[in-house]
Amino acid sequence: MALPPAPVLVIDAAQLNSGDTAWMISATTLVLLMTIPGLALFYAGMVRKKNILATMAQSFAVCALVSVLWFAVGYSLAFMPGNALVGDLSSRFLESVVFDKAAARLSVHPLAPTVPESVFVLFQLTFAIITPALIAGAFAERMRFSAMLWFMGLWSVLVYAPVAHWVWEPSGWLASRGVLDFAGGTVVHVNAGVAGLVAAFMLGRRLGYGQEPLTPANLGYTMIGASLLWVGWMGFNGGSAAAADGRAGMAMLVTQMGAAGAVLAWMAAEWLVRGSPSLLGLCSGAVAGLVAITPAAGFVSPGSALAIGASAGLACYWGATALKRLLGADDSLDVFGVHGIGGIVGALLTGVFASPVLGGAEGKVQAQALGVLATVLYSGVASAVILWVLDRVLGLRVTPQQEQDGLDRSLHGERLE
Amino acid sequence: MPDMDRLAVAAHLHVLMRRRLNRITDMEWMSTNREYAMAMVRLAHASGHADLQEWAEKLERAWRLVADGVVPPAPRLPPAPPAPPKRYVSTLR
Repeated sequence: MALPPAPVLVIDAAQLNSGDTAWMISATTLVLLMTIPGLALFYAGMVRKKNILATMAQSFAVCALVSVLWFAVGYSLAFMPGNALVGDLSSRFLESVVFDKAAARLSVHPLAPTVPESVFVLFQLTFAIITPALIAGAFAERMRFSAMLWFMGLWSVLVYAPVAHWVWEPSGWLASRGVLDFAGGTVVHVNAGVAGLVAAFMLGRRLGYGQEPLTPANLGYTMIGASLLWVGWMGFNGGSAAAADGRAGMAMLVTQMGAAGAVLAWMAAEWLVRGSPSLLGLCSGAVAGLVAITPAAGFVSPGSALAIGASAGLACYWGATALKRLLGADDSLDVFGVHGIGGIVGALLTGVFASPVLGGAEGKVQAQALGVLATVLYSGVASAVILWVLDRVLGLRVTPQQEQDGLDRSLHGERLE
Repeated sequence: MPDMDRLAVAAHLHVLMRRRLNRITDMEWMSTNREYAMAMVRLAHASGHADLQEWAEKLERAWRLVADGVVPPAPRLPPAPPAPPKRYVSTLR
C-alpha cells in the first residue's frame, strides 16, 4: 500500500470510533440537504416566478461542479499542509484517501482522527458546495448560466480553498494567529457575503430595480428552505466538532439558541419599524442567527449564543435594509446583508464570548478582526478579478430581452405554469 | 355583447398572451377599460400568432359594440381601497 502524503495517517480500522463516524456521516447528509434542496428553495421563493427554475438550477449545478473540483484539487489545496497561504497538491484527485478492506486499514485526517478520511473529505465538501451556492443569491435573476458556472468553479478553487486553508488547516496563517472559526463564519459566510456584494456591483442592477416592485414569487418556498437550513445547520455546526461528543451537543444547543434569538430580534425590529412582522423577516432572522453562531458554536455558552443571535438579528435587519440602500448595489437576495454582516458580527463576538472552559481556546477580538479583514480583502479583490476576466471573455449578464422574458424560459427553455 | 361575454373573451386573450408571449395582462381591466384593451389587441396583432390575432379580433369586436351603443359600457368600479405600503421596490425585506 502506497503511503499517503503528510499529514494524513493510515491506521487500523479498529482505531476508528464508530460513534464519531456515524455522527459525521449523518452530519454530512444534513449539510448537503442545506444546499439541495434547502438553499435552492430558500432562494427560489424570493425571486420572481419567471426565475424560480433558473435559481434552483444554479444551486443544483454548483453542487455537482464543486464536487468534481473538490475531488480534483479543492480538498488538497484546503486541507493539505503546503504553506501558510495554500495547501499543496499532494492529495489531488484524493490520492491521500486510502481504504484497504482486506488489510482493515484506512486513512484519517488529523483534524478528524477518529473518522475515515473519506467521511472528512465529504463533510468538508458539503461546506465547499454551499459557500459558492450562497453567492448566487446576490446576482439572482440576471447572470448567464455559463458565466455563473465558470465563476463558481474558479471561485471555489481560487478563493474558497485558500481561505479554508488559512483558517482551518493548522499551518494556515490565520489559524496560527489564534483566529477562531468553529464552523465557517469567516470561511463560509463572510467570504460568500463579500463575494456576493462584489458580484452585485459588477453585474449591475436588475431591470426595474428601484422603480417597480420585484415581488417574491412564493415565500412558502422560502420558509421551507429556511427550515431545511435551520435543521441542516445542526449538522453544519454539530459536525464541526468532528466527534459525537459533548462539544457537538453544545454546538447544537447554542445553534438553536442563536437562531431563536435572531428570529425574535429581527421580528421585533421589523414590527417596530414597519408595523408588522413578516414571514420573510422571520426566515431571514433565523438565517442571520445561524450565520452568526457558526464561528462561535464550539466556544460559547447558550446565554452567549442568545446574545450573539439577537445582535445578529438586529445587525442583519439593518444590513438588508438601511445599509443596502446606502450601498446602492442590487444584492438581490441580501447575501451581504445577511451572510456578510451576520458573519462579521459572529466572528467578532466569538472573540468576546469564547470561553476556554468550553472550547479550550480564549477569544481575542483583535485576532478575529484580522480574520475578518483578511477575508474581506482577499475575497473582495479575488472575486472582482475573476468576474472582470469572465466579463471580458464570456460576458456576465443576460441580454435585456432574456432578463425580461425570465431566465427559466430564456436560459433553460422551461417554465412553471 | 354583455359584460360577461367581454370578460370571457378577455380571459381567453389573457391566457394566450401568457402562453405565447409570457406576458401577464389584467383581464378584468381589459374588459372594462377600452384604452388598455386596444393596447393589448395591438400587441396580440403584432405577435404574429394566429390564435392570438383571432381572439384579439373578438375583443376588438366586443368593444366596437360598446362604442356603437349596442351594449352599455361596464359600470364604473367602486373606488379602489387604499394601496398597501410599497414593498419590494429597492429592498426585499
